[in-house]
Amino acid sequence: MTTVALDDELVGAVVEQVWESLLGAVARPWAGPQPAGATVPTVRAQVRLSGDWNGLVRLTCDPATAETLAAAMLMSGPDEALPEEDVLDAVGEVVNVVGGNVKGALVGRTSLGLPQVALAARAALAALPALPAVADDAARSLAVPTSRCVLDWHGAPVVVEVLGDDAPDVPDGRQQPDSSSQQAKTRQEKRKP
Amino acid sequence: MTIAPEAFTFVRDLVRRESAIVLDTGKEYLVESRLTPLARQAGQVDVNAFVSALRSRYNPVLTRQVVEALTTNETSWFRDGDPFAALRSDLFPALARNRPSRQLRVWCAACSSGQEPYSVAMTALDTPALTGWKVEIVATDLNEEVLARARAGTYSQLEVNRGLPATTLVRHFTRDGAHWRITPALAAAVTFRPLNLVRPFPAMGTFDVVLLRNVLIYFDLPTKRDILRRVRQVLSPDGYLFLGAAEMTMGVDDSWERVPAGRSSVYQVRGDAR
Amino acid sequence: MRALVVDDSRAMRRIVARILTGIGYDVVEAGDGQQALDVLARGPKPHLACIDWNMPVMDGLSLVVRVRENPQWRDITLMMVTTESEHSQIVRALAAGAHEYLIKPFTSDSLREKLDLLGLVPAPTGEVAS
Repeated sequence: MTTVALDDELVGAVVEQVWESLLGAVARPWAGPQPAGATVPTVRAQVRLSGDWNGLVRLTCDPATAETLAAAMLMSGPDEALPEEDVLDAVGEVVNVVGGNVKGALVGRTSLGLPQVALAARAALAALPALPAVADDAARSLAVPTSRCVLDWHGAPVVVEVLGDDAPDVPDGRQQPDSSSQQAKTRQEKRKP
Repeated sequence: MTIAPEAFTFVRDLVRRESAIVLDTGKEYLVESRLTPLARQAGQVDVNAFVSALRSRYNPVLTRQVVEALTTNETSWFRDGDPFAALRSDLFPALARNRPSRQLRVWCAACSSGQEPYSVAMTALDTPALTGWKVEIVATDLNEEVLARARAGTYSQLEVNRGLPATTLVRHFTRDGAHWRITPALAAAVTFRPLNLVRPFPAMGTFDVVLLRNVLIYFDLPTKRDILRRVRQVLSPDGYLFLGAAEMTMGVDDSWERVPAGRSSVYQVRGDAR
Repeated sequence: MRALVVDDSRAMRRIVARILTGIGYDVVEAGDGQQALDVLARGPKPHLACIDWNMPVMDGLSLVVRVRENPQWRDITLMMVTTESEHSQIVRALAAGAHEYLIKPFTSDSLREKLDLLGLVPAPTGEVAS
């Protein structure tokens, strides 16, 4: 049995295909300064892989970028303002497709969870209760990504990361989104067509 | 930079004419990103300048490169389905009745990234009348780069989504990281080699089926005529020639006759020209 | 021609529905396998169902099994449209009774080509009987 390296090359190849067919765009690497930790406010979508490989695939960007990503995916016109729920759902589907294709490239049996999407704003959303699913994600943001790929989406960074559960923790210095101020949506809450 | 609408229209028409693949509106990003490296190579400042140069003077080599750059991920397996259905239901069984040697040879004369010869190989492997036969597929192309891709036999997720039935995918491909790889049986059935249709053909033996689809359009009338004449010389007398769905030998080389094959049609050398 | 699109992502349902509508389908949607069964029970019966795999409540593979168990639904063509992309998963879905399998991400062309393979591209308007 051969093992497949879960590296930047593999994740890059997956992202390239997802960008081309789902977003109708070329996955251009981000040339600006590396985004340090998460920007605030931030949209974060993640999907969990569990089985022979355990970890998360997640996508982070700012809310305006999430809106234009969703608009590209849904081919919505410039006059159509997408409701926040649709924007988060679309970003969740992007990470779902990236996650599924990363999983497909791995050897062994691994299953894919349902995507979770959170919109976090340190100040503006501080009143909202924390949800356990996202608190878990906040803890994960301390982990060193197994693979990290930063794309340029119309001048803003979109971070796609794969984080293995066994990745070592970073001692200090990394920002993380404030888990007390997050609004999370999982697919269970919005099933009505 | 964004591609100018008239440049996009020109490229889209070119690709449709030369490959019969249609790039929908909305594929501007694709044209821009795939042609940027070619534009740089050609010393043009951007894609718009590159397209202007292409429009002002016909350059067959560059045209082919443009078409190839734009048809990656757009090339379908079993393209135009009918010829493959005809091979399986009619032509392969007909040939099988007249080949006591239990051997068949097929030539894909413009194989590009390999979808066509591998589709022929899968068709042959899945034709009951050919069980236990030796089917040899020779696949040629002018472009060494696409030949290398074809020979590697690995395709992206997007590529295997194009026209490949799921049952066929699981039978003839395995996962290989982010890609899919053809099975050894499929790889063994196809031999790739570079070949320029304009020059005299190298010694390749005789073929029972030749696929020369969507490639004659690149050439002027005398060259088309010459290629068809030389194809006649390497086709067995009861062999079949496939052209693209919109192509005809009529008025080019009248030694051929069009015969129906399933829902498709195919060319055979006329009795008096054999 | 009628199609049922089953996916927990509204965005994905919208994408699939738009392509199908564009080639002449009437589309109904469901957000999980159970909802899809409810829609099927209400009728009218679709010709085609495009089914995601990972969904809450009831996943797509279970839905395929349930649809196949009902003789009245035997003539519905089932196509998985999912990011599940291992060789073994495709084999499982086909063995459970799915007819076709489209891996996400896909383009509108690749969805149309799959329908073409299934003989499910509706005739242009005007030539359809009823």
